Amino acid sequence: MYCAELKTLFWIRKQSFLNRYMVSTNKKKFVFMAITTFVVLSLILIMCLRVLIHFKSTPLIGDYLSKQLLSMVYLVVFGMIIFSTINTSLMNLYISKDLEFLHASPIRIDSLFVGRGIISIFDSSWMVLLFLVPILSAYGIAYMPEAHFYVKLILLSLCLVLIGGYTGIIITTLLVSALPAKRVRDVVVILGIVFFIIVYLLFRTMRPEQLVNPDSFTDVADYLSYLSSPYMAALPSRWVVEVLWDSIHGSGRVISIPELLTYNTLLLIFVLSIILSRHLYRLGLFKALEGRGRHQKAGKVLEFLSKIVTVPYPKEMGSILIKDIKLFFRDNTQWTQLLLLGALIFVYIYNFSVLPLHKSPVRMDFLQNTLAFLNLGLTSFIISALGARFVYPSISMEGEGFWLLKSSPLGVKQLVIAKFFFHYMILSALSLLLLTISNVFLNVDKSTMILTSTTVILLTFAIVAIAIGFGCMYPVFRYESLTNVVTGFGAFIYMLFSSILIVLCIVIEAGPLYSIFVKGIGISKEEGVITNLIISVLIVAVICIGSGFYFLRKGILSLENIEDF
Amino acid sequence: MIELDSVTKRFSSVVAVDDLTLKLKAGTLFGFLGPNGAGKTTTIKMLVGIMKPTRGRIEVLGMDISKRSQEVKRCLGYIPDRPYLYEKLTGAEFISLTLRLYGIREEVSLKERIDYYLELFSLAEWKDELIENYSHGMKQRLIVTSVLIRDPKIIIVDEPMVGLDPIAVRMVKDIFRDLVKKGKTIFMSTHSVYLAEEICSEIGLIHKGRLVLKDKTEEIMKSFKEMKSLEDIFIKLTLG
Repeated sequence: MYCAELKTLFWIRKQSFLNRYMVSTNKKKFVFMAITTFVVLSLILIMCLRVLIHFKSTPLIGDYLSKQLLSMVYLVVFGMIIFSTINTSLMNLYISKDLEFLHASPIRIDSLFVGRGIISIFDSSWMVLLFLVPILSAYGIAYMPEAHFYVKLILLSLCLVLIGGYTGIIITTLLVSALPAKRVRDVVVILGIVFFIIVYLLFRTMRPEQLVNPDSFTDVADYLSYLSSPYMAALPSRWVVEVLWDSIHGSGRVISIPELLTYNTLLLIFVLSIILSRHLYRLGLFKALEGRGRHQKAGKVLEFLSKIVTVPYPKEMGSILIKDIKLFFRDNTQWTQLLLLGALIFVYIYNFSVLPLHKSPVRMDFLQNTLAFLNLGLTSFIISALGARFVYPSISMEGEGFWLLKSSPLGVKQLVIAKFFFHYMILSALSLLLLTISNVFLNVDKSTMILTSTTVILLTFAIVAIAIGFGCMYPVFRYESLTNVVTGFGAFIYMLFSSILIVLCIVIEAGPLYSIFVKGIGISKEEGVITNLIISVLIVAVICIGSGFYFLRKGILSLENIEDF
Repeated sequence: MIELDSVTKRFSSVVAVDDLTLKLKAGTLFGFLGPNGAGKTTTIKMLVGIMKPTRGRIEVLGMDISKRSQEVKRCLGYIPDRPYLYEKLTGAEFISLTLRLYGIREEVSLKERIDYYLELFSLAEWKDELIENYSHGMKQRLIVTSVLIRDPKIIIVDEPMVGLDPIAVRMVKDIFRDLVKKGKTIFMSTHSVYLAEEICSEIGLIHKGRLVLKDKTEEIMKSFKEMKSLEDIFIKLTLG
């Protein structure tokens, strides 16, 4: 009976997936996605393999470094699965629109909890696991372990995913049951803060700067001791790494204590989640369903703020932006993302503040300017990621209310331009902030500051335009959660195009900039280096502005022709 | 006022609207009847500029909608069948948004008008609540209110009474009759033959994308003397 109910729940998911991706996505798109994924995974494999081979050839500490790297990977995977499952289980177990329908059916609440729990873990882990495959394959190729390594690898990785997943579900169940009915949907606010703490702890726990800074230890033995000491030894991710590492070196045929601990923890956490579900899930579900109709008054402060922010825009455009701002700040799943953004900026800037530049054997000015240039790329990638989360879905977020805009005299062109400028202003300010603060930490010279600032403004222009363009070309007006939009095909293509653009612009400017540095330190006497740099910046400007206008235009045309919403 | 000339709409191999020709004068309350999937909503979406016809021409107030869509839209009021709104806006904010979208200033006289309609549709107390707290019927009433406030020359309405309580239904009927008396044109799609028979001055029947009947209501009743009601005529023409 339970099996039949679980089967039905999985069937709903399977069929929705097939209908969404296999029936409505055309084959060309599917093949393109498959090839691109394969290429990306292959690149990760090659990169990891190079790192591992380099570590392996390093005497004394190479093996420790490889193990530490594996520990970091598993720690990050474990952390991501916990947080991600908190999010997906909140959606699947408490917020999803079909819960009323399912709850009204004779399906048992236990089956609903287990079935939706497994679906939540799958949702939160499949992509993480996909990226884990090339990393672990690199270990396999580099160390050539025996067959039992692969058996343990699959078994233990699966256990870790389930432990992380069920931990996430338990946290969600406890949070929901602890909150009053009207606040259940505000759980995401708390989640934002939890995620901030997880990011911070993960980062500080790993202390990556220490790995490349042996001078901070009193002697070699101290450094080796740091490398070999298991950080976060009480976490399952560390147990899994211990077992795998023994297995890689051929000594893991018997079941060890960390392995037993992993299996027992999984069993314990599963049983705990079932007990909790019996006592708390029904209560939480009722709360969540009741909380749907809660009353909430509109805020005057938000009204005032949104009017101030939209002053520079024409009336019709301004009205759209006022609406967008209000919708953003009234939706807890939206504004809480700003907390994550805060965490990201903090970690990013912190990275630059702890860089041990003065201990580098390379010339200080050369290193500073090179890092500043790399920083340009990193900032652009952050803007690109933010574009995927905030800019790309801005068209889809009109949702099924898009009929109002489409039937109003406000043209699609005006709508798209309003959204473009609004996001461009915010993201260009943010990119400049990130770049300037990190450049100040790097103490770069004035010319590099001007060059990187100009380039990042141009790149932000193109990135925002590409995000809006693809958002118009692949809008999803009917969605259960915004995750459906930001993980869709259009978002994937957007990330691909914006990444290519960033790399292309950096490559164009890198050569002339390098010539200037080399000339500056007296190694070369090449003439016309400044002219070359100006030409390269002009080329970058043409590419960014040209591609920006191209994708905006394409997006407008595409959105004008969309009739199904 | 409204003219559709050989309008066809295809969705890959499916023909949703097939060679539809229709002409409506000002001051008409036109009932657009048809069974499920006949092409009523598709026709309406083409009329309000949400969809483009595969073939044919649509003119509203003498303007070709494909060429002067913004001007046409400014004169139209559209009430869709499903009241999808921005759930995190309040009712008052939604009205304000629609007015701004249509380039209308919120002057004192308009504010009185807003209050009048909000009161009329029992939304005054709810105007500062988020739309997500509204019932289906309240959302429908809010859309009707937002359109009536603008006082458009033409109202295009898709299944207007779905979700409305009897009091609101009576109110909408009275308002529509009153508007038509003042020279406005209403294009109303509906499943309800009783509603069409009761309030429409002209009726069109669409079946499998083709217009199979179009005339004044009393003329239709005269032409089908053997039939007791419009419902019988509807069933005869759609079931054969």
